[in-house]
Amino acid sequence: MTALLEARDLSVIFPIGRTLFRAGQSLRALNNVQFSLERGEVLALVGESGCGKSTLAKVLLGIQAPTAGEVFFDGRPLADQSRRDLARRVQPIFQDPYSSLNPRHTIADLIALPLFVRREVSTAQARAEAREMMGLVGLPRRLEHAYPGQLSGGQRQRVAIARALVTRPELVICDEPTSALDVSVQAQILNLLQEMKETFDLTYLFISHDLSTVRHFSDRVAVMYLGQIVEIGATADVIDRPLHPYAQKLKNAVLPADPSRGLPPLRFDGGFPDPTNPPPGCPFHPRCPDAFEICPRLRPDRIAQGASQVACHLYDPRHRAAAPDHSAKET
Amino acid sequence: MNPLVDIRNLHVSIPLTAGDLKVVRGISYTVEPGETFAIVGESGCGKSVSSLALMGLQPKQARVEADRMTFEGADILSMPRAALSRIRGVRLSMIFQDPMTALNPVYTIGDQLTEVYTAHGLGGRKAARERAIDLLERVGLHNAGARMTLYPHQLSGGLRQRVVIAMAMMCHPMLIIADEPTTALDVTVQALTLGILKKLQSEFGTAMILISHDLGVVANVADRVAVMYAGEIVETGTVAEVFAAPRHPYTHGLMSCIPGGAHLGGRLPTIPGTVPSLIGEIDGCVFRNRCHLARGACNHGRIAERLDGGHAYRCIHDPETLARQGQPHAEATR
Repeated sequence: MTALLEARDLSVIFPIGRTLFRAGQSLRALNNVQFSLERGEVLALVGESGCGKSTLAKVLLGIQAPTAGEVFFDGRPLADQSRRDLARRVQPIFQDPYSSLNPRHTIADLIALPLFVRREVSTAQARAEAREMMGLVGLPRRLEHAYPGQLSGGQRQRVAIARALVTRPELVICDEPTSALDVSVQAQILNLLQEMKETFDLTYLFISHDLSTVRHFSDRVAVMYLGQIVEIGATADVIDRPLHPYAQKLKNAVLPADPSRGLPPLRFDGGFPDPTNPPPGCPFHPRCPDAFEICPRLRPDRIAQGASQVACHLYDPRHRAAAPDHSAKET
Repeated sequence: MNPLVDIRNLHVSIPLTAGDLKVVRGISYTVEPGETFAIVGESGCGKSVSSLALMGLQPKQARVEADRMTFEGADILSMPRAALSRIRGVRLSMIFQDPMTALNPVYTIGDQLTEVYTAHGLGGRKAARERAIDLLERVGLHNAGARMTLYPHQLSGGLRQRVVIAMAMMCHPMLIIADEPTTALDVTVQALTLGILKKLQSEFGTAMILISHDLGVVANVADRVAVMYAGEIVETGTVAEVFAAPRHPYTHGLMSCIPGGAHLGGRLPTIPGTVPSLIGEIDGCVFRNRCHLARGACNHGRIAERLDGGHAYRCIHDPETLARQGQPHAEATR
């Protein structure tokens, strides 16, 4: 069976600061990104701001063309498929339901908009489908003629979900769908996304920085750092037993709602590097507590380690022997 | 010892054409010198407005009333504006969510840090510069002397927030009000930023009011916590008490809807319904329309505060009932 989505060696390079008289620099937003997504699966993408999560979402939606590499959707290159067809089959849900909904349209019109754009159904039928979607996502009928400004954050995100699903897509790209919401509403929206997945047999690419949400929601996790996937594997492995030092750092950064633990000790590590001037070798080596001699010189390949794949010299048999304390990493 | 902050029966209301929007409804709390007091709640619960009122920075049209509102024993309500602005930034300073709005983009960080000190007349430029460099080093900006000439845009978000923390500490404040200090930051710098804040706080003996919606942040940083809902403090206690055994159904609900733990992959428990309208009075318990324990007695009057040692809560139900009945809404999310 072919994967629903496959990214092969994707790179996106943005030229910045280039003028008539100056060469400018380039920003490598994605660097040889490779993964596949099976039908019915939830793959989470985690990483800090600026790591390329949203650029990847744009490439997969066909909004941003990759500089190199290819995306295959349902076995065919994305570039060969019609924009219109793709827009029906791949839909996004964004973080901020305050800015993703036009404030001058009514709720029913907003939800029916993708159908109007396709011009394949009558207005009356589009409205009927919008009303049906409202019911499915738990929006009361009385809100049909309301405007986004009259809705709460949670209700707006329900509108965004209804609008994304009205064309019956196969793949939904959720870009931080619950980050802007209050805790009690987050849980409602996560439950709704779960329910919709079962109702419509959806496949999700779930972009988030919140590891507890990812752990709850996804089947597999890809950890991104500076435009690269540094670790990818089953959720339980990557979140609970991370291999890559960066994934370990992310795990340790989570503050549990448990007062008995206290804050971790202070450790200054220089922070996120400048993406226009990335470090040579492994992009994480300046912040890495386990970095050794090879790390600044050679970019690590992604290698299989258990059921996961990890791009780190610590796990590469060719270099492992040189690592100062590699026994600690065996587990 | 007198508390540093003593607030009793604080009300903040904003007159609207539809009636008075009562954003804070009779809250009382104290903050002791050196302690970290967290106010946690969801958007619109009044957690920010109540702290703005403490600094006299509430919206212009807002009406602030209280039986008592003192800072270091001085009455904030009757204080003239000039006296208030002598306190603000010196005895009491503030850290907001977004460091880019707190810093002026056209001045260097050095100028901005020293200005706080000299403008309040605490010393000359040389002393100010020394203090600024010392504080920048303490927040982890190494080689601070050379980096005083940087502009805010030359720093990452995490470093900017550390500069804001240094700026808040310039005049040796007794109290820092930190309103969602790490919400705009990445998770990897969140713990570090909070750690720096805690370290400075203990070095200088500064108290902190931490406003947050994030239970993880509150659990790890605060000594005591107040949970706000619909303008009321529904529960207060030490973080150990409140997190181990929440006494109010709202607190209990909030804690059980955090993903992770028992509900992995399944449905998360949720709090059904929405916050009541804050226009006019609310008769009865503010949480009753969303509470699975609500019964007749919850519908009338203001629910009295019950005390169990230092743990206070506004709910008529016994803690045993809450513990037993848990969160039955796990299936009814819509």
